[in-house]
This record gives sequence, structure tokens and C-alpha cells, in this order.
Amino acid sequence: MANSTALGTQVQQHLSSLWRFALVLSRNRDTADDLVQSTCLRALEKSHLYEPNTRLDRWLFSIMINIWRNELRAAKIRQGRGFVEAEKELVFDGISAIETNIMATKVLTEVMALPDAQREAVLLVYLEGMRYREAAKILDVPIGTIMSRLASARQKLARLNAVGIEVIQSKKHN
Amino acid sequence: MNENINDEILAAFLDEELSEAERARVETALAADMTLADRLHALEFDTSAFVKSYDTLKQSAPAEKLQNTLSEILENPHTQSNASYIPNARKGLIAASVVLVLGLGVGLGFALGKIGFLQPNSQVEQQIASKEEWRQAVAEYQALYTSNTLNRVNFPVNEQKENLAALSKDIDLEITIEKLLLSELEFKRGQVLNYKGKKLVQLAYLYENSKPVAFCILNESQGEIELSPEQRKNLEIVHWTKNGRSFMIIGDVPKLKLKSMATKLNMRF
Repeated sequence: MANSTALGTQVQQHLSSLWRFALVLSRNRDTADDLVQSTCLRALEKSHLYEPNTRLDRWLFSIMINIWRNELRAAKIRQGRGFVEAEKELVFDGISAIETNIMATKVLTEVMALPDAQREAVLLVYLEGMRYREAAKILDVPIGTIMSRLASARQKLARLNAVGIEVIQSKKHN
Repeated sequence: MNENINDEILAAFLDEELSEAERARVETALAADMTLADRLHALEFDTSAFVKSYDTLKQSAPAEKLQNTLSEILENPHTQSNASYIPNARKGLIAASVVLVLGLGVGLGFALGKIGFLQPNSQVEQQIASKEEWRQAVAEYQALYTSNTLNRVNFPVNEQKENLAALSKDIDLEITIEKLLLSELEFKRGQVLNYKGKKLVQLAYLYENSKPVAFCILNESQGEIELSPEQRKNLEIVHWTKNGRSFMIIGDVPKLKLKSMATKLNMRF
């Protein structure tokens, strides 16, 4: 149990983490803003459900995923635009393509290009460092589904190794 | 012979998610089977590079904006409670209908106060109240606009045209970009709102790049009224009625300029 004001203070420390999670989830900066807002709102309303001494960020992520899946993604699809633009925006606006960030830009672009289901699994396991079991619980799917999504994602992401190294090496030669 | 070790198992092996027994089985198979080792390699990547890349995203977070959002939620928990997700794009419309409903109450009070009755007790009085209250509702709504409300609204011309064509159908009155063109005002967007079950079209402009101005059309009027200036919510208004419709233009614009804008619009609509 936690009261909402006390929880609000704690949530404050996770805002940037929540936003970047939302950005990878939705691939759109405006939607990410909305997601953070709705998540904070929902978390404070449901503050009695938060178990103290468990990771607050993980609890917030699970709320956000629910909002995204049940309410927001559908609205986004109905709007029928934003995805392609969002990818470009992320690369050129979210992260500056300066030399030190070439790898980051490439990695994130590749992650963003994954289909929704694979991207969600990658986000939880590789970016947020969750165990399969925890990711399965948050996404409400069997562990086997997480495994197959990650295997498919790995086939695509592994190709990035070669490309990433190539780019960095060609920079060095210059 | 290692066909039963699929990519899912290999991925789980790389992610250290296998049980001891499973892990040992994969290790043994890898040592004996180069093809399997190649398949494993095809799934490998440096997860730490991913984490580092992900870290850079935190710097892009609009920290101040997020902080303000949270503060607002904390300060007004009750006004925001039971809100499920409402996309920003639709908030304006919802706010509009809420405000228009509120405006109805305020406007009615205003109108009745002015003519000295608590309850309108004749048809004439009701009509006077009705004429004024839509303008009060619009003024209440317009007062919520800030200098930033329309700044980032930039629709491509073809979308604007499509939207205006749809609005024209909505109120059965031709609205085109050309008819809306006013010097010193930049047209931003048009939307249809619901006012007491009647359609209210709001055409939003920016004056001097920062001041929101709205030209509104309501499909209802009693009689013909010439261009008439008034002030509500500290905003200048010019309103008139014509051919069964009520019109108004409202904003923080000098009276004479607003009058000249209203004159042009009156000639076109």
C-alpha cells in the first residue's frame, strides 16, 4: 500500500525512464508524452495496488504497456499515421547523429523497425534487462512466446553487428 | 542431429535463461556441431551496446514538460481522476464540449443577470438568453487558448482543403481557404463542435504569430443582426447573424482591426 502523494514523489524519479520506454513502445514522441501522462495518472489512482519494496519502474512499465495495448495503440492505428515519420524523427531529433552516437542511432533505428510484438519483447528483455518470466508476465503471454519473439528479433539485430562495426571502422579510416 | 535445438533454445542459451541441464545439452552439441555454432553466431549481438544506446534516449526526454505534467496531476488529482487515456489531439474537442456545456450555464446566468430575471419567464427573454449564451460559451472556450495552443498546428494545404470540405458539408455552407484568407491572420485549423445539439464550426487563426483568434459559425439564429462589437472574457468580439446562421470573430485583437476582419468575412459568408 502506498498513498498517492508519496508515490507521486517516487514516480518523479522515473519520468525520463518512463518516457524512453514509451518512445520505444510507440515510436512517436507525442504519443510517448501522452503515455507517460496516462501512466502517471493511472499509477496514482491505483497507488494502493503498488507493493512497497518492489521495483516501482517495473510496475509503471506494466501499467504503461496495458494502456498502450488496450487504449492507445488502437487509437494510433485509427489515426493511421505517424509511424514512419516517428522513426525518422527519432533518428534525427531524438539522438543527434554525431560520431559517438552512430552506433546508438543505428541500434535504435533497428529496434524501432521491429514488428510490435518483437519490439516489446526486446524492450523488456534487452533494453530494460528483465528476465523472460517477468517479460512474459507483463506482456501476458507464455514464456515460449517471449522466446520465439526474441529469437526472431535476434536474427535481425545480429545483422547489425556487422553493419555497426563497418561504419565505425570506415570513420576511423577517414 | 541437433535439429531439436532450435533458434528459441539458442537465443535462451545466449540470454542465460536455460536450466542447467538444458545448458549442458546445448554446450555439448555446440562443441560437436559446427553448423550449430554458426547458427548460434547468427543470433549473437552485443546487448551492452543496446543498453548504451537506450541510455542515450534518456537525454532526449522532455524532462521539464514531464515534470510539469506530473505536478499538475498531483495538484489536481480529482479533476483528472477516472481519466482513462485521452489522446492530446482529441482533448481539445472534449474540452470544447465540456466548456461549451459549462459556458451554457455561465452564459445563461450572464444573460439573465443582465436583463434582471433569475428565470427566463417569457419566450422573448429565452431568445435573448439563447442568442448571447453561445457567444459566452465560445468566449469561455477561447479564453483557454494560450499563445502556444496553435503554434505547432501546421496542416498541409491539401489536408486543410479536405477538412474544410468536410466542415462545409457539416454545416451546409461553403468554407474554403480563399474565403477564410485574412491579412495579418494565419489560418491554422477548422473543427466542428457540438453546441446544444447544433453544429458549431470553429476556424482558428493566429494573430501576430501568438494570439489565437477564432471565427465561429453556429447553424442557428433568430433574426438578422448587423455587425456588433462586444467584449467577453477580456476578448474582443464582433458578432452578426445572417441567413439563419450566427457568426462571431473573437480574439485579443484591436477593435478596429477585428471589425475590419469581420466586415470581410461578412461579405464572403
